Amino acid sequence: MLVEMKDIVKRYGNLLALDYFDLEAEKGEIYGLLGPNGSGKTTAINCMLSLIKFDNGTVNLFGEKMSPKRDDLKERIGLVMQDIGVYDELTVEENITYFCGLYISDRKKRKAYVEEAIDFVGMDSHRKFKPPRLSGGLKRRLNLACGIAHKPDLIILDEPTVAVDPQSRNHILENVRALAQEGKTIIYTTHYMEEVEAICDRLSIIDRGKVLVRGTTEEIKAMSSSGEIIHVKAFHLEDDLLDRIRDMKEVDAVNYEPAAGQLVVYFSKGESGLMSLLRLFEEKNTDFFDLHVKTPSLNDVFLEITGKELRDND
Amino acid sequence: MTRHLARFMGKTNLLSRDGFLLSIILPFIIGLIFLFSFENLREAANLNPAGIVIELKGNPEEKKDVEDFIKARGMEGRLTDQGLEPVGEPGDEDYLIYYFGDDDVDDLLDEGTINAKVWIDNTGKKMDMEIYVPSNKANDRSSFMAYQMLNSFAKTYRNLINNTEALYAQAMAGRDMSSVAGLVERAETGIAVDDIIETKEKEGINSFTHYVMATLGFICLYYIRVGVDIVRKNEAYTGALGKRLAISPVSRSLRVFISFLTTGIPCLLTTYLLLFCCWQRDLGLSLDYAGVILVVSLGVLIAIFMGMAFASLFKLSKDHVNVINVLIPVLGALFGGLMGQASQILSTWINDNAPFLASLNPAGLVSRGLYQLSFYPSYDSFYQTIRIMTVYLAVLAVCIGLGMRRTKE
Repeated sequence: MLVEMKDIVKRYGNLLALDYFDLEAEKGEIYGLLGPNGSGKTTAINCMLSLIKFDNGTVNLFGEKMSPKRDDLKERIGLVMQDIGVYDELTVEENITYFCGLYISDRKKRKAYVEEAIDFVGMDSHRKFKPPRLSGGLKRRLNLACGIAHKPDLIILDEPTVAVDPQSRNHILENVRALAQEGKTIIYTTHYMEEVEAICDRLSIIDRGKVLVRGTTEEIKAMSSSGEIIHVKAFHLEDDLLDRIRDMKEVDAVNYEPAAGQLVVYFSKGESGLMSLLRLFEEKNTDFFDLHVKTPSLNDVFLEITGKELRDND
Repeated sequence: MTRHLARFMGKTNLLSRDGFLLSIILPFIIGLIFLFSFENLREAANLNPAGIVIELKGNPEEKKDVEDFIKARGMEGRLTDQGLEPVGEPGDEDYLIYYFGDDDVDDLLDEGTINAKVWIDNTGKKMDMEIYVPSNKANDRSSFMAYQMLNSFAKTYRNLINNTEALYAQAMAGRDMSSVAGLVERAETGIAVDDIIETKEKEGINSFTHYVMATLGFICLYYIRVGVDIVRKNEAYTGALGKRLAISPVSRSLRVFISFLTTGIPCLLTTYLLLFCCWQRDLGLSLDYAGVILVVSLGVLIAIFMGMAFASLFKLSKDHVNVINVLIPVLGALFGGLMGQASQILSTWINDNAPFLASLNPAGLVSRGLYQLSFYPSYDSFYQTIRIMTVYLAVLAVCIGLGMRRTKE
C-alpha cells in the first residue's frame, strides 16, 4: 500500500473529528474521499501529512511511518489545497519555480520541471502574470502546478475545484486523470459526487470523521435500496394511463401532481422501466415535454445511511 | 537552498503590500512624523528664565558656594510690584533670575509673577532646601526647570559633603589615600557648574530630547509585528501557503531563519535611516554613532524576537496578532514615557520603584540606552543597559527555540 491510515482518532476538545478513520490507497490509484463540509476530509489529510498530531492510529506512506521530520517522504508528496496557496507578489513562473525549488536543488532540472508544469496546466501565455490578474480558474490551475511541479509520487488534492467555473473544473479533472496515467497516486477529497464518479477508482464516503462506506463507485451505488427514478413533465394525464403505469411490475410508486404537471415514477432496485414507460405514453398518444431519468447516486447512498444530503452545508 | 529561499522570501517581502508598507515604510513615516512634530518642543525648550526669590541661611563659605552656583546660571534681579525684573538683559546661559532676601512675596507668588520661593538652610551638617511653587505655576516649565536645577545642586552638594567626610575618615584612619585620588580631587575642586547642568539634563528636564528617544524606542518596538509574521507565515495552521511550506522538505527552522534575515535586515536599515534623519536634523541624539546604532539594533532585534517568541510559543489567531501588534507598542510607548507628562512620570516611577519591569520594556531600554549615551559622563550605565538587552535577546531566542520545537494543534 502506498498510503495506509489505520484507526486514526483526532479530537478537538470534545469534538471527535476523526473516529477510527481508515484509508488505504495503492500505487497509481485515484482514491476519493467524499463527504459533506465538516465531515473530516481535510483533518484526515492533515493527519496523513503529519501537519497535526492525532490521538490514536498510524500513518504509513510509501510503506514507512510518516512523521513531521520525514523529509525523505515529504519530497515525494505534492499538496494542492482548497485555498489558493501562492504568492501574489510573484509571477506564475516565479511561484512555480519557488515551490519546485523547495524540492529540486538542481537549477537545470528545476527549470525543465517548471516548464513542464506550466505546459501541463496550460498557462504558458500567463507565465508573467501575477495571481491577482488571473481568473479564479487560472488561479486554481496555478495552485495545481505549484503542488505537482516537483513530480511527486503521491498527490493530495484537497477540494481543488471549489468555486471553479465548469471549464476550469473540466481542465483540472483532465489534469488529474493525466497524472494518474503517469502512475501517480492521487488522494482526492471533494463534496462533489460527480467528480468522484468521474475520476476516482475507489472512494470512501465519510461523515463526522467516520468512514461510512468504501469501494468502487459502482459497488457503493449498488448499496442503495432504491432503483431508477423517472421524472416526466406532462399535463392532463388520463387516469387510465396513470393506472397502467402503477400496474407495471417494475414500478414501486407513482406520484403525479397535476397542477405542476410533474409525474415521478419510482422503479424497483435493479429494474429499468424507461422503454416500457415510453411505450405506454405512445399507446395513449399522450404528449410530454420533458423527461429525466435518475439512477441511484452516491448522494442517495449517503442519504439512506445518514438521512441527510451530501451538500447539506453548501 | 538558502539562496533560493532568501531570493524568493526577500522578493515576496519587499513586494508585498503588508510587508513593505507595514514593516518598512510605515514605521519610518511614523518615526519622521513623531520626531519632526517634537521639533516644536525644541522651540518651547528655549525658555524664559525662572524668577525665584531665595532666602539663604548658613555658614558663609557654603553660602558662597550656593551664591556662586546660582550666579553662574542666572542673573540677579530686583524686586518690584510687577515681580522680578532682571538688572540687565538675560543671556542664553541664564536659567534663573534670582533675588536674595527674606521679603514677603506671597502676593507675587499667588499672582504667578514669581515662579518659586526657595529656602536654603545649611547651618547644620546637611543642606536643607525647601522650594515653594505656587499651584498656578506647578506645571510651568520654568518652575519645573528651577526645581530640577536647585534639587540637583542640593544632591550634588550633599554628595560632595559625604565624600569629604569619607576622605576625612580615611585620612584619620591612616589609610592609603591613593586609592581615593578621584575623590580627593573632587573635594579640592568643589562643585563645577557644568556638573550641575549635566545632572539636570540627566534628570530629564529636556522633554524634546526625551520624546525623541522615546520615539526611537517605540519605533523599535513597532517591529514586534514583523517577528509575529516571520513565524506565522511559516506555520501550517495559518493557511494554504503555510501548509504548502510545512509539507515541503525544508525545515521550519531554516525557513524561519531565512525569513528573519530577509525581513529583519530591511527593518534594521529603515531604523538606521531614521537615525540618519535624526542626526541630520540635530534632534539631540548622541554623536557616538556606534553606540546609538548598537542600542537601536538591539532594540529592533528584541522586538522582532519578542514577536517570534509569541508566535512560536502560542497558536495565534489573526485577532491575537492584531492585539499584540497594537497593544504592546502602545504599552511600551506609555511606560517608556512617550505619551505626555503623565507617561513620563509613570516611566520615572517604574524606573525608581520597579526597575525589573522597566527592563522588560524594549522601548524603555532603547530610550534609556540613548539617554545614557547622550548625557551620562561614563559608559558604565550604558554598558549595563546593553548587557540587559543582550540577556533579554538571549532569553527570547531560547523561547523561540522552545516554541519552534512544539507541534501545533
